[in-house]
Amino acid sequence: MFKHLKKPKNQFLVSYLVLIILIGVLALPALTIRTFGEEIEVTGKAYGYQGEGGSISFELRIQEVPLGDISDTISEQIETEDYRVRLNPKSPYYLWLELDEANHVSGTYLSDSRPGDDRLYLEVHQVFSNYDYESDGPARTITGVTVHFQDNQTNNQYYMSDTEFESLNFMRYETNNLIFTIKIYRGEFQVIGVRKG
Amino acid sequence: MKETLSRKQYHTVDKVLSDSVDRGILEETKKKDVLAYYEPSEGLDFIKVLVTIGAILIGLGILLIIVGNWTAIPPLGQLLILMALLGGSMASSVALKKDKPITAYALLYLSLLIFGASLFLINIGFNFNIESNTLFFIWSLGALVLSSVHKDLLLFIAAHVLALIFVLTSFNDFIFIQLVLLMAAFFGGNYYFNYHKVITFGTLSLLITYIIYTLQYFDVNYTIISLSILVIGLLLTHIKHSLNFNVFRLVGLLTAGISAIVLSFPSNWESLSMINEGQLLSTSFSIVFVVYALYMTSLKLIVPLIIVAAFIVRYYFDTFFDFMPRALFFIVGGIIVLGLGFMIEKARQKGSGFDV
Repeated sequence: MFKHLKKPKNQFLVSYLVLIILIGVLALPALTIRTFGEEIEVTGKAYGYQGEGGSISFELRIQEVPLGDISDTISEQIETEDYRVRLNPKSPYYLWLELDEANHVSGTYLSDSRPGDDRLYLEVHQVFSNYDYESDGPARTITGVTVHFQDNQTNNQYYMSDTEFESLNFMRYETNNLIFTIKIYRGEFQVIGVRKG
Repeated sequence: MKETLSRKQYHTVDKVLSDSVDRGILEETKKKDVLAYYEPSEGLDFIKVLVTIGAILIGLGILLIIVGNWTAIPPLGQLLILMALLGGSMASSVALKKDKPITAYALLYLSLLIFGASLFLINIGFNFNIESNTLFFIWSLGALVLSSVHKDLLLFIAAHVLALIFVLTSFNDFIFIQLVLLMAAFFGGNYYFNYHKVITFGTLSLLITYIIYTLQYFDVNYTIISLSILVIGLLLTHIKHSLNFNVFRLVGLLTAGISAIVLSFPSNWESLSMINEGQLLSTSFSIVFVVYALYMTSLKLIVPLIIVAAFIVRYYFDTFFDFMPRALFFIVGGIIVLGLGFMIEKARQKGSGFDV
């Protein structure tokens, strides 16, 4: 068998094939859950609030069913909209934040298609997770949240994703005119804030 | 068959023989006879460096263009681009192997770079949310595959580096199955590459890193870890065998030296529950170890001399930094470091009989 490996063409074929298999192995867990995963139901609320220094802040919450006890550290919350959706791991949903001229959240919309314009939106999807910390059983939980944003001024596209639930994460990302703040808690998630910078 | 020497080595041999001819020690014909067994290399090393840098720059440039527009490309397009780049680079390497072997190897290095970038970009593009340590593990496996199929030493060294990053980016993860697989591959690789000294050095260093990771994973006290690594270092230094013993001794001395410096700090000893006052213990330990290092230096070894120098500098900073005037502190410190450098340089000079 190894005698055949001395031919350059065979060397190329073998090494290329093995490298492609290695990439395939990388994708297998996530692709499996996306192909064979079950639907879960999610409810949530969108909030807007007036933060310090007169800047406008937005916060979006998504909670799993049954609703967890999420500690509330933000005052002056203004409820804008309730929503309920069944999340299908086979087709991610996109939650849009509609901003008015003063950059207030004027509405949130769910869609199964990616927004074609430059609006801010969240992509909620289910990916592989070893187990559910709450029930100590197999995972049927949202483990991925992605924030997409396109900067109107520079036309740059920004992208963030985090699924680390082991401990509190705090991510901060600055664009020319918006600051995103994302906090993700283990298991029962999940606070996502978007603040005007 | 003529033996190929680097240009510098060839000119040195030529010069020595010419001098001998001038002094009447050797006849001109004898000089030609000796030189007939050797030939200067055609500057291939320089070309290798040049084309490797070129290939890497091109690869980085292309990848940067792709990364800059990554989110605008549909996922299937992302996958196809990466597969095509990887396949193109590897196919070009194979096509050029016969006529332009150096360029072919440079393209192989580029392939490894593209493979690694593909892992990270696919992870982002498809939201797989795979931890970066796993990506480095797979990248290391890719390097192992390429190095074994194409029998290239540099790729095998790259696999070591990637495996090291894999361990360093794993924080308390259960990675022991991966570690066993990698170590088996690396030990096999030592045999495959005919026990090359650089590879033996890399594999031993990696093994020690793995041992430290394992002890940390099981929450072993870090002073116990330092003591364990010190013992391992001493065993590597003193157990005699015929398999690259110089490399084992070098790794052993470096490992023992670093552990000893860690153990020279009293607070590390005090982290053990049975020890309240670490000053006496750490000082006694340091004295014993420096005596040992001086004994090893007397055996014409350079590394123990460097360890002694490190101890002197460590104690000088610890003792005098707080109360000496800063200017005087730095002047004296500079003199000490220069003096130690002079001693090490003297020991390194040819003819001194010193070895690493």
